[in-house]
Amino acid sequence: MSRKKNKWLRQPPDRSKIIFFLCFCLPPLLLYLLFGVYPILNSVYVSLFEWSGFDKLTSDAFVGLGNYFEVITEEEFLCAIRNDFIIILGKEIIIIALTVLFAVSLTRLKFRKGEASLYRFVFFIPNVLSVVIISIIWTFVIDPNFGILNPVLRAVGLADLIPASGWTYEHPLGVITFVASWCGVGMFMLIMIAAINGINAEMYESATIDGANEWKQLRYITLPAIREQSKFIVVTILYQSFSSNFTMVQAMLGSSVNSDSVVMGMFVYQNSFDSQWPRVGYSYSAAVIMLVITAAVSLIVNRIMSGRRSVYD
Amino acid sequence: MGKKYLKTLSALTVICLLITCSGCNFTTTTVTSEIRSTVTYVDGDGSVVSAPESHDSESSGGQNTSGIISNIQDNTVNNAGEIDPSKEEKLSGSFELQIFVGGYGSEAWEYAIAKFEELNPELEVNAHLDTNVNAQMKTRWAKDNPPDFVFIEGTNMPAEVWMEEGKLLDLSDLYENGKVYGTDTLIKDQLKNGLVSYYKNTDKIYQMPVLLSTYGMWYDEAFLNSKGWSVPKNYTQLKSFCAASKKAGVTPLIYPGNYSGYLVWGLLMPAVASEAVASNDLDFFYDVANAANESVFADKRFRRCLEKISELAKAGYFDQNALSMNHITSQASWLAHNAVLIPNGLWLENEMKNSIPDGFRMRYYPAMLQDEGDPTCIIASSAMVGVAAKGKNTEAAKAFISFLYTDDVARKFAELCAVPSATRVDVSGAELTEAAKQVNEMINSSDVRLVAKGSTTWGSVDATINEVVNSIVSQNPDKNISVDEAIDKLQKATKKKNG
Amino acid sequence: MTDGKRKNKLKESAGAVVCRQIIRIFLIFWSVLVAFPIVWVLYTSLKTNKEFFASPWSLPGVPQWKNYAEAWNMAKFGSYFLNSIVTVVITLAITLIIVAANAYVIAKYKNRFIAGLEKFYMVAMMVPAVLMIVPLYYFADSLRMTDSLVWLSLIYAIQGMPFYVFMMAGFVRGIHNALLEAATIDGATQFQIFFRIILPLSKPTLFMVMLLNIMGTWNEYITALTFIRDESKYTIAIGLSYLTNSGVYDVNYGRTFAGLAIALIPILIVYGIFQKQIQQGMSSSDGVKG
Repeated sequence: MSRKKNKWLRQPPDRSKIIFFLCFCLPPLLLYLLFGVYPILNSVYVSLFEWSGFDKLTSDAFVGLGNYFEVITEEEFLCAIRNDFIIILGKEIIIIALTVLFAVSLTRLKFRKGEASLYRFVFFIPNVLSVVIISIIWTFVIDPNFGILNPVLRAVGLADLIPASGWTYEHPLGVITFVASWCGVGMFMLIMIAAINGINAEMYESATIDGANEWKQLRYITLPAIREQSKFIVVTILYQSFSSNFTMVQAMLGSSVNSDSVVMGMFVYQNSFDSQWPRVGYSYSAAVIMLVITAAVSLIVNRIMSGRRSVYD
Repeated sequence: MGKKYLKTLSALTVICLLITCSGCNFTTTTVTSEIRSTVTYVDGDGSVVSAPESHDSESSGGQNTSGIISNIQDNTVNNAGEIDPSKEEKLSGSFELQIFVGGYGSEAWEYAIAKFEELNPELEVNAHLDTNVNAQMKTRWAKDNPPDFVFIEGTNMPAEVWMEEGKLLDLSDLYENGKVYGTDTLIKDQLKNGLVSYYKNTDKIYQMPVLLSTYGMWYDEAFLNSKGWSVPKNYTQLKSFCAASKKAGVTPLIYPGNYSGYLVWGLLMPAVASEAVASNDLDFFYDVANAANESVFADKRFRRCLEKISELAKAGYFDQNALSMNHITSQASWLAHNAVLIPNGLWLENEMKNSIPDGFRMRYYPAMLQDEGDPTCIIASSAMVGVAAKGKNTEAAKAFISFLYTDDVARKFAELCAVPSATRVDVSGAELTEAAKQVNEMINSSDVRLVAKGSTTWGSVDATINEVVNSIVSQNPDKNISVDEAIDKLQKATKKKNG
Repeated sequence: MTDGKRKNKLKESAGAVVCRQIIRIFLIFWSVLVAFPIVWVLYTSLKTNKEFFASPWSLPGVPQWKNYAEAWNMAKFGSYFLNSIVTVVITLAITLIIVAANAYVIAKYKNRFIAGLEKFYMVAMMVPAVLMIVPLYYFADSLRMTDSLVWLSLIYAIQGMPFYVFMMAGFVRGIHNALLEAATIDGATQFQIFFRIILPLSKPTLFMVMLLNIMGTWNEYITALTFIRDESKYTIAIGLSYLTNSGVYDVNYGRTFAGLAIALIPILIVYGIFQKQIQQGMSSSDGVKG
C-alpha cells in the first residue's frame, strides 16, 4: 500500500489497521482461496482429462477440450440449462409477486396487531426446515393416490387441472418451481417488510397533510423502496438458485430425473457421483460451463438492475 | 467493473486454448464402448449349445456375451453337508466387510458374521453394515485401501469400473477348486445353474452369487379368488384378465414410473427371453440385455414385445398415476387394491412387510407377456459378493464366501431375505413365508425355463429404455411415443454408447 | 419500526377495507399452506404404518409414542444431537468473528485493496455451492480432513462468509464515521474499536447472522455427508437422510416421520424463541440511516 496515490486512500493505513486486517481478514481469505478457489481450479484442470475418479490421473487420459465439445452437444445438458432458467424465471416471478403482495399488505393495511405478527412468524417457517423434510412433505402432498392436493382440487371444482399421470411426471419443473418458491417467500417477505418500515414516517405524514390518498402514497412513497428491495431480491434469488435447484431436484426427484427435469448441478452430480460409470472429467467440464453461465448471467443481471454499482453496495 | 471482468475472462480463455491446443484431441471418447465375444454356454437341461450363426450381428464390436459358466446339469436340491471345523484353518488377523443394507436387510449378514466369528475366534471382524456404506467407502477404493469383502448391491456401487480396473480379486480358483466351508462339497457343484459368469471375454471371475434375484409379476391371491379370476400365464390370458379387471373397475397393471426398470425386467425382458428361447437363439436375449448393437432393437422379436406393452397401454390397462410414483407408493397403492398386478423383485414381501393388510396373500408369477405356447422364462441373476484385490485379508474373505454356502447359513439367508438361495440347499424345513415358498417352487419347476442374466448391462442405454417404456405407457398425447419412435431412440442411444 | 407507526395516520377508505378482507383470504390461505405440512408431519409421526397407508391425512387413532423411541434408536439420534450441536457451536463461533471483522473492514476501510477484496467476495458469492461438493470430496480426502467435525465447521464458516459479510456490511456502513474518528483520536486501537464499538452496535445484525447460521448449519446435509464417513460423528442432518433412505427399504412411515419431527422440533423452538430478534435483524440490515 503506497502512500503515493493519496486519492485512493482516505485514511492513511496505520499499523493498527494493518494488524487488524492481518489477524482477522487474511486467514479467512487464505482459507477461502484454499477451500473455495482451489477446488474450482482443480476441476478446471481435471476437466481436461477422462477420469473415472478411481485410479490415479495419468497423462494419457488427457483429452484436452474433448469433454467440453461433448458436453455442449449433449442434448441432456442443453435441456439442463434450459430447465435451470425456466425454474429461475418461475421462482423470480412467483416470489417477487407474493413478497410484494404480502409485504405491502402487512405494512400498509390495518390488521389487528397480533394478526400481522402471526403471519410474519408463520411465513418464515419454511426457511427453517431442511430440504429433506420439505421434499418428503411435498412428495406426499402431490402424490396421485395418497396426496391431499388432488382431493382438494376436486373439492373446489378444479379437477381438470389434475394431470392424468401425476404431477411429477407431467410437470416436474412446475413442481420444483412451486416448492422452491414456497420455501423462499418467507425470508424475502421479511426483508421487504423491513425495507418498507424503514421509510421515514414523516414522509407519510406530510403526504397526508398535502392531501394524497392511500393509493398515491403507495405509488410515490412505498413503491420506490419496494423497487430497490426487489432488485436486491431478484439478484439474491439468482445467486442462490443455481445451487438450490440442484438440492431441490435431487431431494424431490432423485433418480427419476430425465431430460425434462434435469438441471445443471444435477448433471454434474450424476456423471461423477451417482453413476455406474463415473466420468469425473466430463462432469467437471459441465461444471465449468455451469460456472461460466452462472457468472455471466449474474453479472449481466446485476448490471441491469443497478447501473454500474452492484446491488450489494 | 464489467470491463475488467471481460478482460480477465478473455485472457483466461486464450490461455486455456493455448495450453490445450498442444494436447488437443477432438474425438469424443465414450468410456462405455465395450467389446464382447461369443462364448459357448451350457443350457439349463445340460446340452451344450454354441452361438448360432444365423443371428445377424453388426460389426461395430457388439456380439452377445453371457460368459456364463454352468457346470452342473440340474438344479435339484442338495445339501453340502455338516460343517466339520477341523477341515478348515483357523483364520487370524483383521477382516473388514462392506455390506450395503437394503431390501435384503441386515439380519442374515449379522447371523453369518456371528457364526463365522465363533468358528474363528482369533479373527478380528470389522463389519460395516449401513445403507450409506457404499458412498462412505468409495474413496477408500480409489486410494487402494479397500475393505476385504464387499456386497455388490445398492447405489454408489460402480462394480463395473472396479472390474474394469482390476480392483476385484479374481475368484476363478475359488470357484473351480474351492469347497464349501468345512465340507468336501465343491462350490461349483453346490451353486445353482448359471449364476456365475466370466467377466466379459476374460477367464476371470470377479463376483460370486449369494442370493438368487429375479423379477416377476405379483398379485393378491385372495383378491383374485374373491373375483373369481385366475392368474394369467401368457399374453392371451393377460389380455382377457386385464379386460375383466378393467370392467370390474380395478386398474389391472401398475408400476413405478420413477423406477421403470421394474417394468422392463418384470414384464418386458421375460418376454424377450421367451422369444429368444422359442427361436433357439439365446444370443438374441443377451444382445438386447447388453444393447450390443443397433439392429437388435429393430429385430421383429423385440418389436413384438414392445408392441404388446403398447397394446396394453392403449387399452388403458396401466395405472397412469403411477408414472409419477416411486416404488414404495406404487406398491402401497397395489396393496390397497387400486391395481391388481405389479412387476417387482423378490424382495417385495420383505420390503413391505409392515404394510401388508390383513387377508392379503402375496403371490408371484414369473412372466405374463409371452405368447401362448411360448416358454415361461425366469431371468435369473443374483445378488453378488466380491473380494478386494488390494484387501489386507483376502484369505479370510474367500473363506467367508465359502462359509456363506454352508447349509445353515444359506438357509438362513433364504429365510431372512425371503429369496431363494444361490445354493442348492434344501429349504423345505426353513421358516419361509407362503410367498417365498411359492417362489422357490416356481424356480425349481420344470415348466419354467431359467435364463441366466450373467454380467449383462445396458450401460448408458439403461436410462433410455427406462424413459422409453414410460413414454410408451403414458397416454398423455404430449408424452406418448409410438413403438417405431421408441426403437429409434434405443438405436440412437446404442450407437452413442458403442461409440 | 412496527405496525404501530402508521396506525394513527390514515382514516381507512372503503377501498382499503375491502382490500384488507380480500388479502386476508390470501394470507390465511398461505398460512395454511405453510403451517399445515408441519402440523401434518407432527401428527403423522404418531400413527402406525398401516394407519398411514389406509389414510395419510387423517388424525391418528392411538398415539404411537413408541415411533419416537424407535426413530431415536434406529437413527441413533442421541449421539447425532451432540455432534450437530458441536458443529453448530464451532461454526457459529468462527462465523461471527470473521464475518463481523470482514464486514467492518469492507465497510470502513477505504482502500483499493479492500475494494478489490469486496469485489472478490461478491464474485465468490455467485459460485454455486454445488460445484464445490465433488472437488471438495476428492480434495478433503487427500488432505485427510474427513471425519472431523472441526474441519466441517471450518468449511461451513468459510463457505457462508461472503453472504453474511455483505448482509452485515450494509449495516456497518450506517455507523457514523464520526464515532470511529473520535475513538481513534482518543487513541483506541482497531481491536478496541472493533470490540467496544462496532460489535455492540451491530447486535441486531449479528443476531440475524447467528440465527441464519444456526439454522443453515443444522439443516445442511450434502457437504456433511461428503465429509463425515465415520458413523459416530454423524450430525442430525446425516442421520435424517439415513433414516429416510433406509426407511425406503423397511417401510414404516410413522417412524420415519417421528424422525423428521425430532430433527424439526429443536429448530422450530429456537426460531420461536428468537423470532423477534430475527425480525429486528432483518430490518436493520438494510441501510439504516445511522
